[in-house]
Amino acid sequence: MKTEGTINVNSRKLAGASAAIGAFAVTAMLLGATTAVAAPEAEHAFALSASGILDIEPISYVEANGDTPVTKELVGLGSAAEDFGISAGVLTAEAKPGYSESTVAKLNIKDLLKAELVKTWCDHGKGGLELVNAELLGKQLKTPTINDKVIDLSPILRVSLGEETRNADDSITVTGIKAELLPGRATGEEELSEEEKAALPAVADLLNLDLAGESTVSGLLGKLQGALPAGVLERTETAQTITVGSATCFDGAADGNTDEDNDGNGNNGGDNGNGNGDDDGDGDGNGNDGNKDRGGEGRDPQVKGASVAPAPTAVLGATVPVTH
Amino acid sequence: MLWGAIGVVVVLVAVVGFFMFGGGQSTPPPADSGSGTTGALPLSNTFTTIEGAPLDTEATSTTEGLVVHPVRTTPVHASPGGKAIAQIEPQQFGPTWLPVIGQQPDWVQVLLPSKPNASTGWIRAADTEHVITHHVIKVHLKSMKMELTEKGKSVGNWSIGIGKPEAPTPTGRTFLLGQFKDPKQSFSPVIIPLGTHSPTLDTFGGGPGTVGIHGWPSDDVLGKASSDGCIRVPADALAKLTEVPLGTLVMIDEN
Repeated sequence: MKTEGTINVNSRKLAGASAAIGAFAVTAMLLGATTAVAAPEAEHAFALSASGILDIEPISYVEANGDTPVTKELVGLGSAAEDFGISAGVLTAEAKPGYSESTVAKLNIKDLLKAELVKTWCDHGKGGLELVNAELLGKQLKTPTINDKVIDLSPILRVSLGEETRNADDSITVTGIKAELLPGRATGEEELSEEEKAALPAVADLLNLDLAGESTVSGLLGKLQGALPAGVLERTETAQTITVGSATCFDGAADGNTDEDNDGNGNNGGDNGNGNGDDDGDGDGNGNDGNKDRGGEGRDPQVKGASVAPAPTAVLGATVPVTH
Repeated sequence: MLWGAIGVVVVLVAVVGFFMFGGGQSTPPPADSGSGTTGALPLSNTFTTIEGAPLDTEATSTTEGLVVHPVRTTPVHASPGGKAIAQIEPQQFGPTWLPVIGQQPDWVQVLLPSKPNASTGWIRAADTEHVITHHVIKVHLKSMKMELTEKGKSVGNWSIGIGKPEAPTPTGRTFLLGQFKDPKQSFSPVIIPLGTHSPTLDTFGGGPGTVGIHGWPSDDVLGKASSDGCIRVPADALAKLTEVPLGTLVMIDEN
């Protein structure tokens, strides 16, 4: 089913904010966007979406229908989205049996997340991601190994690159970039650094808030609480999720088949032996996993012949309240 | 942290900025546009409670040491191919490693890090990589002793501190969930969270009451039941335990 897609500021979440910031609900139509009403049991893909305070229904959404590839191409997001600070060049998606992909060119989300190209694909259950000249918060993002890159700055920000998910219908979804703002679990005990404190006046000016004297994350979040919709800072709710690139396909493993031939596909094939390499920001996944058995589609773990577990080396720096 | 705090605040400006433009009518939010059919499943981690998770029925038995790492976010089922009750991510406190306590063709049954204690679930073997750990950590509450074994042989014995009567250390079969350093405390250079929780403290310090193994500045807590549920160990024990693979079983009994 295809409909016009929309950008929609979530009015329910806005309810608590209207008094504080004089908010208005916004709905803007996007030409060429389509809506995923339900996850179909067929390959599908889309280029960009958002959920939370701001909703953008999946753009350039396609799903496989028979053996002929289904494709969609959209040029730009239109002035409405650009007014909101999100722009893109060509957005494409393609789906056919066993394969789906999406591309987003010239992506720019408020100058915070930029990329010349984000290409996300799913090929018979194996995901792939290619980033070209990508930057997050001014720092270069290199193309990561699938499922190997999470920039976790909880409780404030969590960005995952190339996240792979097994769905309940046994399909695999690869998400190119997923940015979650205020992902919850705020402990708030951490002190703001001097540089962060130095940045507060500019932030305060933008938010029209008095942030002077704040020295902890909890204090900062407390001030933001008053300026944001009710509930967005509650521990279980992510304020905003932005997804760039999503591709879903089936791998056949659900049938108990052994995996397909090594597809040698693009820049993903060489990475499969790596379980958990570096994941910056929160400790290192270490390089000690070269001898792990990658499980293997359709294979059952066996004690006999299994590699010996390495000593853990990924010691996080974190505040996690365990009992004392 | 620096970039996170600044960056997100700026992002929030962007998001809040959306409210300040334009007008018009609102529409109901669309369905989750992310990964689709697992989107509604709760995550299984130390912060969550998973309803319908089968409980560990052999909590006093060790295993052959198989541990698995989810290579992708994958559903957790109540039985092989049965109802999906949760999903579990490849990363929690660093990489997620879970002990295997049962197997069926194409499926493994693992201990979960979520509440209630002794929760288990089934995940697809194809979504995991696996290794074997030769270690087992045995915790004896009555004698307040901990033993570390490797290939069945004792390689360490220590006197430990355990939970006080009103906040006891829970018994049963659990596992090493991760390691972290907390710069906001000084009682232990490293803290090792386990996959179990205080039976009496639903929350502790704003967290979910996760039981951990950690050090303590003085030895006078060893051999005493004075903690809030955590297991306090001497420095040499902590150093050795940090070398034990994640997912390793921790067997806690009343002896």
